[in-house]
Amino acid sequence: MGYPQPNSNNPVLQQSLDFFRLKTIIASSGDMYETEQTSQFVAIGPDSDIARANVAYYDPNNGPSFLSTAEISNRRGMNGSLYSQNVGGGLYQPSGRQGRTLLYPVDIWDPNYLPTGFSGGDTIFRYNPIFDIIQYFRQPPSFETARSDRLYTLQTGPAGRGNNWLIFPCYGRSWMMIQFTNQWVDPTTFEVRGVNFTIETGSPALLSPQDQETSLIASASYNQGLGVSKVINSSVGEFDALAVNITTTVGAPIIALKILMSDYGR
Amino acid sequence: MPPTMKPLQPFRMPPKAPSKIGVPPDPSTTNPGQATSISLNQPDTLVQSFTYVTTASVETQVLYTADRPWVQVTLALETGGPVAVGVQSTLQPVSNSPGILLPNSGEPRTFWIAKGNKIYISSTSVNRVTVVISPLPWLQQLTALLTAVFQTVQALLSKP
Repeated sequence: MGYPQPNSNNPVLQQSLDFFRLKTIIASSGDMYETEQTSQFVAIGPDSDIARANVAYYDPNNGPSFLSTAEISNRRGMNGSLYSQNVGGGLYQPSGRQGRTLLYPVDIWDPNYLPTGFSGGDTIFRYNPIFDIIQYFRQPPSFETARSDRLYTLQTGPAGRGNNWLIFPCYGRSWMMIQFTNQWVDPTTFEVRGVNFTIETGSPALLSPQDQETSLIASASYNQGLGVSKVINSSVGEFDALAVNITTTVGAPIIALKILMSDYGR
Repeated sequence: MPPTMKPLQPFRMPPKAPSKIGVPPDPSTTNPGQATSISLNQPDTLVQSFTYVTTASVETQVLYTADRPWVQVTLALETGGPVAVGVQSTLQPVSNSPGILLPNSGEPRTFWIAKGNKIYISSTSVNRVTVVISPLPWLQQLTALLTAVFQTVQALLSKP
């Protein structure tokens, strides 16, 4: 969660916009945002890594908490007037807080995830997921809620000399293309796993749910000029993130890595 | 005969009329009970337009006090609302207001009001409301004409 939290009144007061866009990097699954504005339509934004979000709003017909939720996704927005209760009555119970509209991710993000086999000397780089959600003050002319394709391109590998892991969020992506070529003189090991996160309840680890890993590209060593290319579609599975291992005996090898993710199959 | 020259007079700016554009009239300085002075020859043509920004409040505010004989007030909501408007001095609760809710589609609502009347506004969130206040010259002249006729008839009848 970025601080200070985005103010939903700023688009009204400062920019004369007809929407509030909450675009931020989340730090954990517990991140929650509020808006004081009334929405006519809420949708996942085009740059979002998070595919599913909850819209919680004050509902006087839903006691005893008076809180109702609607889950929106990259394929479905929430259409209708949702009034934030900013003053006076309209309190969530039992907290007694004002019934403002709340926005928070449904997808799980584990900021402490370590791939199986991760050990001392290894490094991990996480692309923290972007939470992009748009609250329209008026009904938009069209209800297109799809996300843009996400493209990652790397020309240099990580600088660590151990196992170097890169974590790419891919919530709800039903089609992915991964292409890797080693362009360094020394052999480079490349591996990709699909990860589905769970909420880990604590220690000991044996008694706690663990993140699930699925091998998508098995670990293999590639000489200079060689690589691997693979298309992963929803028949293989949908994952929360890709864990990519790039290991070499030198730091920062020259590579060509392209990962393209899409909500739509090809 | 040489032309006579008038001595130069110091230039004085004409008194500047207070601008009302963008500033809602202050109800504390507006006297709704003052005598109506209607001109038949010089109808009022001043148009006012401004944006009123509501605040999240449980109070009802005065949006406009008519200081001219007849005006047409057009209100349009630019944001999501809810914004209640009306002639009642208490518009709360907004979601179940005794006034009317401005439609969040941006469709304008129009009031024709006579001098001294007030339009109130209330909201529970920050919203932008465009306000256009237009005179009604023909109605003003019609009122002035009727007033003149009435006064003439009254004067004739009062003669012994």
